[in-house]
Amino acid sequence: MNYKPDKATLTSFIYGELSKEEQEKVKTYLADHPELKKEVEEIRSLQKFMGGFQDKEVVEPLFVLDDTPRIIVSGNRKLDGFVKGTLAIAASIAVLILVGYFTSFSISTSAGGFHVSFGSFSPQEQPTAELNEESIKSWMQETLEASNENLINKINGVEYDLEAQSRQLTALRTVDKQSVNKMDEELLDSYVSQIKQENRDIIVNLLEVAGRDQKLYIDELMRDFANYVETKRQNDLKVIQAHLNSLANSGLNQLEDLHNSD
Amino acid sequence: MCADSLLDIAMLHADNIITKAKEGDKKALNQLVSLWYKRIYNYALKYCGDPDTTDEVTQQTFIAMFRNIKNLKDADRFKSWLYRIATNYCYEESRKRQRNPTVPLTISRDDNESDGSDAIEAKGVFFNPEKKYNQLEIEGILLSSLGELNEGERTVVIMKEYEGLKFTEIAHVLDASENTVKTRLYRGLKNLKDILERKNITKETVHYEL
Repeated sequence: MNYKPDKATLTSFIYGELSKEEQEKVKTYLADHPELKKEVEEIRSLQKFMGGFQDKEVVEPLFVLDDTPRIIVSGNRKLDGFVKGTLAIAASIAVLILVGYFTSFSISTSAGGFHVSFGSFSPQEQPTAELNEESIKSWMQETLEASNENLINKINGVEYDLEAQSRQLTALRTVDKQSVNKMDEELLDSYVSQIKQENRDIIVNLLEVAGRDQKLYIDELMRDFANYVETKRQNDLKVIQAHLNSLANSGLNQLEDLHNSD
Repeated sequence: MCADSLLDIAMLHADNIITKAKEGDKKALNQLVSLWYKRIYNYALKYCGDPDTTDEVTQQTFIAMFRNIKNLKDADRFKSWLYRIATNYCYEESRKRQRNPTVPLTISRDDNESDGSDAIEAKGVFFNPEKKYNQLEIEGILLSSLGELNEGERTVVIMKEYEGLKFTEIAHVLDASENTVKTRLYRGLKNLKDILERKNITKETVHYEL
């Protein structure tokens, strides 16, 4: 028996495109050649793994169709850039404020000159970087409000796009209505409902992403705050421990002095 | 893989639209863009691997479609014809990128934006961020591994596995025989498997059988 399936035949076998008779021949051959059988099985597993790569959603740009077809960069992309830019600036400022707040960054002038410092400038004063519940609440409130504002901006942007698309579709429907035959009408309806579905998905997606980002941000914020409190507690404990050690040492010294004097 | 939405059904019954588009009907041309943009974009994304090049390839493909559709002889071959244009632009952009490698200064819009699967998952109460993370990780690994295949193998693997083209259609796109396509596909899948194994992605390490 000299039968040996070539790669093309094996591909047809994998995709189930062989006749029953030929399929049996390949199966028999594979049963006698475990190495090749393993390879075929691994390729089948790979196909399942590849199925995990889902299609990306994409909104087509506007094409201008004249003698030289070209693309208009769609409005939402510009809006995206603007929103992203604004968000980036706002985020940078927020980070600077946060860093300044936590490090007690201060700039001051006095008779001694111009001072840029982290923490309190006066050497007599102890650092008073204590946070009370009220300040944290108000700070978190501000952060959430800023975040909500960004979210509203994004939603406004999407609404703007939806309106534009809706206007475009309405125009499409009205133009040359007489000439549109029934099949086109059905196709257009299905296309409109598809676009509506996609738009709904985009909004749901946007809300989900914004909500998740907000949650992550708050989580991170709380974790940082917890770390800060923990570090402060550790430092306080060390100071207390140092004082206790010093107290113990002085007690021992006093006892020793008493003992020597006796 | 893709005959499951209204859009896909419309794609299969677009002969009338193609005929009108060939006559220069702008509405029909726009309908073709709406029907095919997502498919071509996802094809190019898997081939090129980065969203900026993908945008470029997809837009060039449709501009070429507008310019040349009047020369398309057989409306039944529209799909193969469109994929051939996209494939040529993929090759061209890929080679350009190899000659002049660039590093983007900004994170592309599409890197951060999540895909439609988010929306689907968000509808459920049991949204699983870990699953989503794994999904993105798998996609990243697959994209980079596909990028390691040679041009011919990569094209055939993507067309068959992700675009669901028939062997005849792929043969038309590549101007090759069906047997050549099948042989190339087998080699491509085997090489892809080997690449993934080198990255320690196997049946045992990733539970992708579920």
